[in-house]
Amino acid sequence: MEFGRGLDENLRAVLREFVLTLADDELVLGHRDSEWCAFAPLIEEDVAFASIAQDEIAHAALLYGLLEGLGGGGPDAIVFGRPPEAMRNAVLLERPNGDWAYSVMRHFVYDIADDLRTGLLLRSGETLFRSVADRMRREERYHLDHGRTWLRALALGGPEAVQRLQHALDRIAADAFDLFRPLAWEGALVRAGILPEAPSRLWERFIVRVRAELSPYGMAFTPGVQAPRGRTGEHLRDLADLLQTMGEVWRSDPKAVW
Amino acid sequence: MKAMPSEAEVRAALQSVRDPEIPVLSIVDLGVVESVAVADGRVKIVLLPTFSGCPALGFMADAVRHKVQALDGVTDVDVAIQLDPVWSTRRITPSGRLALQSFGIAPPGEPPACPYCGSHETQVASVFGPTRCRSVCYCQSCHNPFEQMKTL
Repeated sequence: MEFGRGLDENLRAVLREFVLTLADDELVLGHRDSEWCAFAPLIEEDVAFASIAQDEIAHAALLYGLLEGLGGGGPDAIVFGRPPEAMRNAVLLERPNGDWAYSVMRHFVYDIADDLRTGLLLRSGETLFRSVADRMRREERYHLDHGRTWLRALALGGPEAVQRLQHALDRIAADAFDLFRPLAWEGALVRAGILPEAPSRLWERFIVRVRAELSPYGMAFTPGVQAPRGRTGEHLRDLADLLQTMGEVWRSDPKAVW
Repeated sequence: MKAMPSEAEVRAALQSVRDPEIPVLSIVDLGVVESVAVADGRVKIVLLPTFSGCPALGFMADAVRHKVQALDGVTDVDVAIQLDPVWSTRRITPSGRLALQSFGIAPPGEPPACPYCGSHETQVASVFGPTRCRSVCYCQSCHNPFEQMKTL
């Protein structure tokens, strides 16, 4: 795999950092999705969330696979061998699932963020980024449809549902800036022609998109910039617990071949 | 030394390598075989992954290696997995679509035609089915549930 070939050490480190933000987001939300299996309100949703979980974790695996060309080790070691402070996912995605409204709303809002981000990768100077983004987007459109269908059903479902959705959206708004906070290394990727613009430039477009989807239901999205800082490794205890669960089997014998 | 097989002969041999989850469907008809190159007894085959993270890919790659290694005149087989071009369900050939249907899976496209009675009076009950590549559908005419391969 020729990903990142010919780049200097600094740029390879920056590229690695960027790929980790993408991959860790997908991994952590994928794990949260999997927690709905057998607990969702409908059997179809047990299957749907399990299937979506597999998609997200497969996307994470694709992205971690890119890191092998950057000397980052294999996906298993990257995923199971890192302490929480080395994780680059947004805190929004590590929050426990909460109620159904929160899970559906969080996934949908994240899917919009993901759509903008993979749209950015489609315009990348790196062929492999374009291919990975193309593959992800073909599967992600089903996630967006799924979220939209649920939001419509819940939003038209009566006052309690609407109240729970707005409460979920308020909690998400408080965390959302973490997804697009400007990071010190972004500019280097733009200058190198790897990204057409910094991911943080997507923030305003993200707000517009979320509002366009939710304002028809009378819901307000008012994110602040006082969000957590998961991208620089400041995580909740919830992530440590999640990683503990996810890596338990691997850690029992890291050299085992499964 | 035996003559090495032609590219067409290698492709013909690959027709008997099947999708492990849909054993009536060859990987050639699935559109997974991107290229075959033969030179000096060495065969290089490029495969495209279908749905990301599909567990069948590893089995397909092993089966391809096995199959081609057994051909007369082949000394070395290199099976590479490539992300570019991106596989899509449009790569499934017409005979691949028929094979899917014969297996009880409606081929990708809208609306799904019931693989049992051919009716178009069907509905997608859930986009997310028993595997990541299949949706769950229901036929209003013959009242059978069936699966459809998702369009990618």
